[in-house]
Amino acid sequence: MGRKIDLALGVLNGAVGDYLVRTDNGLALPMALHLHGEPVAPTPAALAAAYPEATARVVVLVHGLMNTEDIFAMPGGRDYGTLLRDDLGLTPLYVRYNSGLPIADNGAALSALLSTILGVYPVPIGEIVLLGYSMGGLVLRAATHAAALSGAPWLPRVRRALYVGTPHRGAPTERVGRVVSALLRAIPDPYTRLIADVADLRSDGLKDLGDADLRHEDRARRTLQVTLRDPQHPVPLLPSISHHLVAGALSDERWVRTLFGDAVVPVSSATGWRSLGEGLDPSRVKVFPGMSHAAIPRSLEVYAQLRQWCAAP
Amino acid sequence: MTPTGKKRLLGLRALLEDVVEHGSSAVERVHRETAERTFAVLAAIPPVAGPARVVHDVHDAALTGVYGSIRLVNRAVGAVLTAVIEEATKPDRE
Repeated sequence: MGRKIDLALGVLNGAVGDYLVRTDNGLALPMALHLHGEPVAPTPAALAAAYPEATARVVVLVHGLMNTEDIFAMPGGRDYGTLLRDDLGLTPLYVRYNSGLPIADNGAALSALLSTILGVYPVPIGEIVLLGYSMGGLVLRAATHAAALSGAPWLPRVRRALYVGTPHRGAPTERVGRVVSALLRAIPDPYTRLIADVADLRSDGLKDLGDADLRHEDRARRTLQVTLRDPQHPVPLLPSISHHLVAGALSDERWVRTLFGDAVVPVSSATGWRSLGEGLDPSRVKVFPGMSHAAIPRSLEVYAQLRQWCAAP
Repeated sequence: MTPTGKKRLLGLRALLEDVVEHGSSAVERVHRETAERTFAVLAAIPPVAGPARVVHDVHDAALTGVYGSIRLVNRAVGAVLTAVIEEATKPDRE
């Protein structure tokens, strides 16, 4: 029952989470660490109780739009976090957040949370691995951007970031939706305007996915254009971190990869290294044919690649 | 019930009230704008323009009354539900 409520709240927050916060509604999810579905307060006592076998290497897992950390769950109670714990000794920290808020806000909140955790974690943290699924990858990038600007103490401990099905160059479906909504609104008919009103209720977080807007100032440059590429991304990947990109593709056929990607995120967006800055080694970009957006956060095949990247010195 | 559970219950109540409030306002606007078109045509026909004006006024008054009543009842139900939730989650009842 609790798990179903959590999942429902995750969907609701992704859809209208910004409205819930604006109206001070109790259904809005605050950003917090979660373990076995329960929140873990960022205090020394709570963290020591939740992680009695805490290790100096941690992996921070961040879910995507309309999800909770449950999106990573595989049969048998395993997930990328527990597998990395068992295989490489990383302690998994699962972050739950309101995915309807602007990505920039969630990034800033995550940076603040990690700064707090750094000071109260049971053992000194030596390395932080970042693992984001879908929108979660953008939240991680927003967090590292905010941390770089503010000089947050956790950032120097991040050596690698793993992005799983993350739309680095935006999601065309959201951009198409934006244009359709504007067209409906332009038609002088009360019914089409009503449909546009309902469509525009979608959250800030969802709208941010259109162009992968990581900063508030990026949102101001939105245009009503159905472009499939975003060549001038203003927030490059931080050069101090080793970045690793995973993309799914419904098929190995070139036209399927180009048009549909993993059914939600085009391969070009999930592997958008051309627009993300210089120096991203192609060996750090992996495409998995036959892998949908729903399957990619809980696949042993994907995990094997993540493990290999995390095991590298 | 935990404080989080109570907070969520009150949040659900508020959200449902918001949906009815904003939903009824949106439907009222569509209803009014759609009727406006018909009355605009009637107003352009001299023999029926006068009676149409009267019907238009009555229609608008009825529209305001009906949708306003929906929102009034919605807020009243919301207030009652808030009181019920507060009462049911008082510490001494747990």
